[in-house]
Amino acid sequence: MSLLRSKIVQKPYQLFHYYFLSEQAPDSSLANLSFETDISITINKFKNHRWKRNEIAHYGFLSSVILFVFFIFPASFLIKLPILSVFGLCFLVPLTSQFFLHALPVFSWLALFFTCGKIPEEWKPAISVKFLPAMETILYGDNLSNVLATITTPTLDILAWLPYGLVHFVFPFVVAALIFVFGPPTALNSFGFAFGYLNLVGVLIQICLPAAAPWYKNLYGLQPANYSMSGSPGGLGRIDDILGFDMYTTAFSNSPMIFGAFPSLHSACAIMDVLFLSWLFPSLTVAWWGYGCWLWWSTMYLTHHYFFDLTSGALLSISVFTYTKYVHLPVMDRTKFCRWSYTEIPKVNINQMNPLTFNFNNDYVYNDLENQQPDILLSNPYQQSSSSSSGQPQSSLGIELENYSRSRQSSKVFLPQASGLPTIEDEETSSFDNSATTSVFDEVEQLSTIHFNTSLEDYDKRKPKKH
Amino acid sequence: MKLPSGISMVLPRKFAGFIPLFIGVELVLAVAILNKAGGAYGILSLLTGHPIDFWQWLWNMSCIVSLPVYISALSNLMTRFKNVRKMSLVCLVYTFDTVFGLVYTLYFSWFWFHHEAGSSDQSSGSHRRGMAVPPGDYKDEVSSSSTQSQSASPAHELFLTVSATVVVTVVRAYFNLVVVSFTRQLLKQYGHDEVVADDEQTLFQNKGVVARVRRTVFEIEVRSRDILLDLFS
Repeated sequence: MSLLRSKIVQKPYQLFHYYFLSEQAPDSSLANLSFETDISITINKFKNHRWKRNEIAHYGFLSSVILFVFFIFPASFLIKLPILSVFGLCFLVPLTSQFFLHALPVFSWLALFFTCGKIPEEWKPAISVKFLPAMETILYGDNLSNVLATITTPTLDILAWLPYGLVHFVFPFVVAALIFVFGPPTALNSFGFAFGYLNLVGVLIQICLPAAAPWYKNLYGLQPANYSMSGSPGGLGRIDDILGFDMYTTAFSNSPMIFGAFPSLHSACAIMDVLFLSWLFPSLTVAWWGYGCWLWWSTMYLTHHYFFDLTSGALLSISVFTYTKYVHLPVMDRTKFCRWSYTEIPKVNINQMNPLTFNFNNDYVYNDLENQQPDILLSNPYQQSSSSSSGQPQSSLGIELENYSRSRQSSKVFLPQASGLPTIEDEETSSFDNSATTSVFDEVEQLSTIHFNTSLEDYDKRKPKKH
Repeated sequence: MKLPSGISMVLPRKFAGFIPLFIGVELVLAVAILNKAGGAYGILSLLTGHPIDFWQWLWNMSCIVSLPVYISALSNLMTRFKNVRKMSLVCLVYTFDTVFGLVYTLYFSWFWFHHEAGSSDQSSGSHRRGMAVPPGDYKDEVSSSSTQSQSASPAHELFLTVSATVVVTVVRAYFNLVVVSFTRQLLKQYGHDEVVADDEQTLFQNKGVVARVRRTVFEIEVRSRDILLDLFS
């Protein structure tokens, strides 16, 4: 308790409250997380849940992947069963299930990726060594990987290593954090869905169509391959030489997916990050795509992928993102600062967007929100008071930054004193306000306890039928 | 000149049978942009010294030229006034690109099967191309007969390559129909509307190279719209 009341905890909380939580309207708990730990709540939700066909397909598919991994992984059942039980428990505890449920595609992908090396060789399809270089030459006129790797220098090596060997592994976490903080509530769920399925489908294709990367052609020409061959770090081997220690050579030599060049999941993940970032911060779209181009160059320079792999991975990303955007992802409100600013979660209206049928709007999102503005202002006294006090015209481009400063200014008034700040313990007991889980169970109409009469559900019931 | 009335029979009304056409066009343009980006990487051979012939150079240049056309159309797909003329230009460029790409696919297929595939079978690529591969990377491993069955047979490789090429070509032709269908519907509804958007009012007043380029592009787009209006009338 004393730790929670200490300055080390209270000061960051104050700052967090000042910049983010103060954006929240008093009557809205849409952005809150659940701190419940009672598993009976989840069990009751499960019992009362009406399963839709797409949910059955979704959970059925992911469960079969997890089960496949469970049986294929070469370890004793005495070890595997407890691990699976703990994993299952995370889906029962509301506090953890709100994250785990939406991250299930990601977990399925990771489980399959790290286990695919254990799949018996007789089950695996034949390895193709000519398919990718042939497709690259036929569709793009040359082996672009060789074009870019003709000249190698230590400076270029470092420049290629940064996005491929470092940023790529960190970026998804950064993007997820940014989406959680600055995107509307439930947006992170969509990112988990898109990112997980993207990689899962990618790994399944890699297993079904094993193909050799450019480094293989550089080492062995187009000679036949086999599963007993070691992998190669390609150009990353030079990074090990520069750094003076084995960072990649051993890891890539023992990779569980040595012949998994097609499609490139480096490209797929990077493009998915880029698409979500462009959706979240559209004014920086050019910079995000610059990162995508940089990573593409590095994968070819390091002889890890053909250009055909990169476009295939990117195509997979764009397809999954497009589906997610039109089916799951909420509309990004440019007038809102962060997730706590939202009082409702509008979804994309395809008919309204369609250039062949709509009442033309230059910026459908903005115009849609403009129409909603009176409602938003009425339900958000923070913004209402600040808007009226600023006296500045609301231009389409300026509104974003103006609102940031205005809402922050006004939120200062509502900043509670340090002594009055709720502690973590207080929040845990305040289950009614902090139960905005967005799991698949949220569509349950009749709930057995008041704790899960969540804010999102409240929202669903009271939201006007706009579309 | 007018297109035969039967053309509307083959034009899709929905993308893949159930997705609104504009989402299909979004995907088609995104795929086109990804593919055309290859030209920018290919032209880097000028810097790296990798040898390319005239036809490869021409291909890369055509990709670089068409890239901004597709990017501009995708970013203005929802923008009134602009989308009609930009999609008109895309419709013509994409159709030309499809035919041009088919010819190049045939040429590059011949190029692969006559030059690359045969020559790479015998020697290691790193030696043949003088690639900079770290000493530790090179291994003189040759698959043993017991493990050779794990590698795809030449017939299997050929089947994969030919079938993938055919599928890509067919998909590309379908994408072309999607673009034509969307543009035709757009022109039907808004083809005779204003062509200048609100933020383009100063287009004809500004001076300088950039303004001149923008005006030229604008005129090409309007000309494309007029050609298509004539074709689809």
